[in-house]
Amino acid sequence: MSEIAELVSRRRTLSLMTRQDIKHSYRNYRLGLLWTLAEPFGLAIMMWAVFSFVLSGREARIGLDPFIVYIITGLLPFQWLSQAIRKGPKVFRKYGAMLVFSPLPIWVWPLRGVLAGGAEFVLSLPVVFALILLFSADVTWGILLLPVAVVLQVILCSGAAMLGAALSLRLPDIERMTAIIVRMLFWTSPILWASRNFPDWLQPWLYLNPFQLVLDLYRAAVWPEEIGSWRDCGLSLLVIAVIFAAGSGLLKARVSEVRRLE
Amino acid sequence: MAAVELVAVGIEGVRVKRRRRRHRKIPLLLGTQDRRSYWVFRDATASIRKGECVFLMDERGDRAATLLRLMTGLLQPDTGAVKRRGGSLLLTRPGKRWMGSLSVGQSIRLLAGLYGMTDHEIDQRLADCAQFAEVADIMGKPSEEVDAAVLRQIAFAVGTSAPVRLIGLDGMAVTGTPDFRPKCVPRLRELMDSGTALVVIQDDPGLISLLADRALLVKRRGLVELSADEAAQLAHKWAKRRRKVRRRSRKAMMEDDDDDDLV
Repeated sequence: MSEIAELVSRRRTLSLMTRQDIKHSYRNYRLGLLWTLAEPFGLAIMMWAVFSFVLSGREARIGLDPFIVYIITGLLPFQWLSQAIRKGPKVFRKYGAMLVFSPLPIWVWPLRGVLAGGAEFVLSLPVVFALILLFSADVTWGILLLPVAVVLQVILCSGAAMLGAALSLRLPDIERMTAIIVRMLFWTSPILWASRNFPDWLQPWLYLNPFQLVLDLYRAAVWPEEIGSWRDCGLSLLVIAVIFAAGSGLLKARVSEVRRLE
Repeated sequence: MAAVELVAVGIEGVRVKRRRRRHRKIPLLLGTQDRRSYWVFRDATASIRKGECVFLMDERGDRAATLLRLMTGLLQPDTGAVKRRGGSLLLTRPGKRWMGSLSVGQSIRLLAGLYGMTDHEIDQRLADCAQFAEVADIMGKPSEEVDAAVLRQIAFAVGTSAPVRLIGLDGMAVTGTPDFRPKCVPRLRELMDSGTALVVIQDDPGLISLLADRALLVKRRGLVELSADEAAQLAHKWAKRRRKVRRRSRKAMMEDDDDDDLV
């Protein structure tokens, strides 16, 4: 709880850090911040073209229309998650000099990367709404779940980032492993497929991947009927809680080690 | 009354060595490192009173820097106890890229945030800091276009206005552009009069005799109390030695260059 109070009392500093990170990562490009819109848009168009023309006529259609909206509502949150996982182990190398002198709590540094990813995600939301309008998908009551989904994803991402950061102190190899983990998550999350494509007995087990629930909540804006049962959601929530607890616990245990980095 | 009190404090460092596995060819992810600990220093006992200025002396500088981080609460001791009254802050040179892509006004805010101030505390002090750091009229300028010395004087202004009882200054006691430097010592004196304790690392003989009440020589087996004069002499000796080493290495380098020319 005291952590949350701390977060609130330092929110302007954190938002400044986030702004700095975003500005920094787009500083060299001619289109600048426009890339937060252009990149997901191009990606979605590409995926859509591949799956609805090249592979059309196959039986493997997932049966949720419009397909392009389905893809982009999966891709954007996934980019945020993958960024958080990839950045986690690099945190202490990147901010090492600041860590040495700053009394800010240690979790600020992993959180910083997560917030930057989140800001990019929010900036690219207009693309999603544009596509929803363009392909005349029906927006339902489920759009009210969007804040819930964002909060859950922040928890999941910061848990993963903290875990990666804490592990990287003793096991630098984790940095290389994250690339594999991210690929694995891409194919085990419902981005290019939907859980309804799987047999009934398998569907509850899909929720062992915590990202399944997060994506369901995002997509509830158009497909509220796709959310799993309460039991399935509970399973995903549990996994998210475990990741967060493991990350924050391990990081707390390694604080003294972090401060000794030169 | 003491601003910070150290009782028989020790800090352990860890040397990591890669263990070679000549005979076992199994690559292990865990346990391939030898972690040996050693004492950076131990049995350090000292007490810094409020309103006092103490210099930490250490020729290489890293031991003193560790002690300073311990005093300001950034490090926890491995043995012994540290008692601190009130907040503390460590002022170091801001890195080149810390404030990248922010304006000068924003970087004041960011630095203050990094030094541990909350939003509310920053809002109260922002205007005064800009005034003191002489950047009030360039607040909108990107910080990349500003000289590093100006960034240092911003850091000095922010750090010395923080609501703390102990300030550690690592090479930052006198800093900034030549115009700004004369303002540093009076500001520090002001802080000392209001009861803030200062702990400084800067082996500048002139500065020591100007500012120091006393000094502590940081050794591996504890701290040695020095008077301000002794500390100034010691710093003078170190400066001389450093100059000599530099001259010698420059000479060696020039000779090397000659060799290259002949070949």
